[in-house]
Amino acid sequence: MKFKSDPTLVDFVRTEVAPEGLSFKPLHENRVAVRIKAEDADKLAERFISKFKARLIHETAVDLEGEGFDMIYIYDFSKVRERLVVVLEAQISKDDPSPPSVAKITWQASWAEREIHDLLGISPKGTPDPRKQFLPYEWPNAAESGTAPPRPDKGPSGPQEKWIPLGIMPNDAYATLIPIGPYHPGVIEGQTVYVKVEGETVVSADIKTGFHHRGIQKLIERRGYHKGVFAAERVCGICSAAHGLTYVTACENLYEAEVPDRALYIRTLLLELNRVHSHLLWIGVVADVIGWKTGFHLSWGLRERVMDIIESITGNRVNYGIWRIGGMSRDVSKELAERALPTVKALKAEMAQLLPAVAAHSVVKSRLVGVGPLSYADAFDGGAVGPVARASNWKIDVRADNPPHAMYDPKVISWEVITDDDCDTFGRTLVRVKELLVSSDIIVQCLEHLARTTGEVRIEPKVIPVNSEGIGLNEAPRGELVHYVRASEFNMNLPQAYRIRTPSYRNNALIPKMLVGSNLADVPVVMGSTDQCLACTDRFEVIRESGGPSHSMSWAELVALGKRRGV
Amino acid sequence: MAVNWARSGSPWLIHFNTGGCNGCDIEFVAAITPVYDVERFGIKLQGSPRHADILAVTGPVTVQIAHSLKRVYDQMPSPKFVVALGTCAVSGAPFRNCYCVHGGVDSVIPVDAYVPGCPPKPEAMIDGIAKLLQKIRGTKG
Ligand code: SF4
Repeated sequence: MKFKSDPTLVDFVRTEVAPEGLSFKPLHENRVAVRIKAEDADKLAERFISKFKARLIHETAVDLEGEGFDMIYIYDFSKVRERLVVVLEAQISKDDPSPPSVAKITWQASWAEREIHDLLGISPKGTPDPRKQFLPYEWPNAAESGTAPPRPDKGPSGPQEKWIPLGIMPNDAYATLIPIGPYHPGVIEGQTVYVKVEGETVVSADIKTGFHHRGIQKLIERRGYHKGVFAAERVCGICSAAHGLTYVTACENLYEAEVPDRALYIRTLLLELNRVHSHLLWIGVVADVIGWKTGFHLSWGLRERVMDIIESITGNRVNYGIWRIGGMSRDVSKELAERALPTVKALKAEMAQLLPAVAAHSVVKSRLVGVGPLSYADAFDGGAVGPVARASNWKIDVRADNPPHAMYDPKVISWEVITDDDCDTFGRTLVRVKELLVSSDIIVQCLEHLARTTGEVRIEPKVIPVNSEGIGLNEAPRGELVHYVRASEFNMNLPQAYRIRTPSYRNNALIPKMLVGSNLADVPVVMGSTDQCLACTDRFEVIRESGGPSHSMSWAELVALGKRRGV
Repeated sequence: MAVNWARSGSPWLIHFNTGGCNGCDIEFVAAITPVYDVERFGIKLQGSPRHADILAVTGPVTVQIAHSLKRVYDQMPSPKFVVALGTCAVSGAPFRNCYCVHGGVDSVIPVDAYVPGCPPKPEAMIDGIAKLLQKIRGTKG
């Protein structure tokens, strides 16, 4: 089944959305590329956000070698027109690579601008946070483990100084700076969180990640389309289904690929199984962090059974390796589907018991309610995605707004978007537990369909056309995931550029904001509450200092905020 | 000899992710849950390197984290053992030769047991650790 595309969209974009555009190119599936002058980028951003309530999905840039750079701004217009995504493109020269900053209008772009500064040397004019962000501070020398000559001592003004978080002055005698990480038993992945505490209360916080940066975008650009599937899955082992699916949708979006319906059902099935295992994993991790070991073992016990179903379908537990451009590499047989159905139904009944176990457990509630608050306005400004946004009562879900394929149409599979108005860690827990049930409903419907029907699961891959662009959008367990691919003009096998923006990239930024005012003992819970996945985030690096210029809080305000939370 | 025998009966494990995709990590954590239950070998997951006997490393060693890995290793009391879980930790693949990747774990610290797989199943990890325990029992103490 294919999406109906709307032929009037280009006209709509030309006349109403971006009359400044120089040229308009319809991409596949309700996506429109607009070439603009670089100077107009901020003016357009302003109008998109204030007038159309559009949302910036990602800002990035592509190196055109001799011809400069192409700035890419991807906006989500799904609230205005069905599934409309507008891609603005502006060419800038290499002599003066300084387009106007979009981050000064919508703060969510600020990391993206720091990232392109480090990746490509583009420095947007007027960006609120111009500091270096991307590469390790000892770059370009290899680590101190013997392969490279020792790093010359840079003296007191060495790069390390930049890592002292903003707002933490040496003469703050009454505050204590506690660095957590990069190795910390409470956090599986490598990151450093600096929290500044007064007494027990956190007054400011900062995250330094990047320990997981593996250069995976470059890897995909050099491996080619078909091998890239396997690299894309390895962006993150927890949400590998989401990355695999988004990768293949982005590549299929380069041309009009007619993926068979059965393959789409299998994709939906795997994505939801993946969501169930990821949410169960998260519930276990948070239960472990708050000391509720029973909860940890309960949810990981359930998770193993989901893993068994996944293994029976794909042959693998973590990186499935069955995604292909144009379909799937394996079918789900009737017997397999029929065997999995009763297991999923039994699992759903057991998962339904998690809800009262969490929602009515007074000890669990005492550790979660009011912890890590994030208001709707903050979530909206900061660009939260996924369960974090939905727990702040913001109804966004890519499966509803910009579905990766037509199977998420409520007419095909019935499901609903879960939101919650608690705006704290408790709300995030409730959203995830309820999503478990919604996902298992979707899984049951997919399995029933697969057991009933037969069909092809893959079409022969076509030659990928040169000079084309593809966007893969998808709701990963942690939120909106975007893959952007641009085909090369010269090479049919290698993409010119591949960019990934993961949900954790957005949600991690909000952690310092959620931490301010919380008790030191709650720091791991708050950090866990976004389900942060650093492997995802660190396909490039993120730094966030509490209170960047556009969000600055005075010292007195911070202290007042801390007192209000009453510690 | 007796010390080694005792040590191999209750090894304390510390887990370090040096930049992996999390795939190996969730399988490792799955191995300590009741379904796989490594505790029957007396294995206990430990937070502090200073209490640990075995360092379980997952993921390719990125340039940024190599230093921390070395430090954690140095903090462990001797005798100490290292097991590399997953192809990434074994050799760095599939991220070998990426500009930000230092290499496998053995490019930074000595490794006693390798468990290849992307990711290895929890059973394979348990097997690797059990083999390491045999090796510890055999070492001259
Ligand atoms: S070996 Fe595979 S699963 Fe393990 S960290 Fe590396 S890429 Fe991930």
